[in-house]
Amino acid sequence: MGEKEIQLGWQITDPEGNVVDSGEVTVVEIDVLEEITQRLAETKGVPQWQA
Amino acid sequence: MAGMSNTLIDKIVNATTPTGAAGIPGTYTAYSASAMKVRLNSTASSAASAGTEITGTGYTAGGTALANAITASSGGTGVTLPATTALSWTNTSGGAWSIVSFDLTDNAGARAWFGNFNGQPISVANGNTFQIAVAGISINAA
Repeated sequence: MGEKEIQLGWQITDPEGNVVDSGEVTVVEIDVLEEITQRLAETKGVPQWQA
Repeated sequence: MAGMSNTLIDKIVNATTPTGAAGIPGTYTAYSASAMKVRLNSTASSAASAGTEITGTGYTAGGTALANAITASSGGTGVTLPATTALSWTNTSGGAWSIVSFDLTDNAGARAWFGNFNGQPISVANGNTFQIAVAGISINAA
């Protein structure tokens, strides 16, 4: 009760099947708005509307 | 770092903006119609390129094909994979594997999503088995 529930993402087992290491779920998530903002910031040159 | 490959970004952006003739949406270039794969890397992937793929007996170059359909995203739920069976690689290369990242690719190796594993670098000693649990990878966009 009250403990963080750790969801298994990966594990390593030895030849006897014993778990020797494990890790949580790997989350691949993209914030679309942040991605667009970042890519616009990386755009080189003077924007057309400022030329 | 995790996210979308440039390949995937180009597909989405081009298909949803007027890059087609006379202002129509561009054509979506579909991924291979065969099973997608999970590729393991010893370095981090980026939007521009995949990390360095691990090698040695127990790992097939290009990655492992996913055998089952996963539940489709609906209402922004995202997806998790693999579906019903863990992905598994037994290292018999003679040395340790150091696993940092993965790429989700189509069957021909075209990249879609990528990410670093929690707890990377993950050292897999010779003789041991690395498994990605069912729903061990969660993918979403917000």
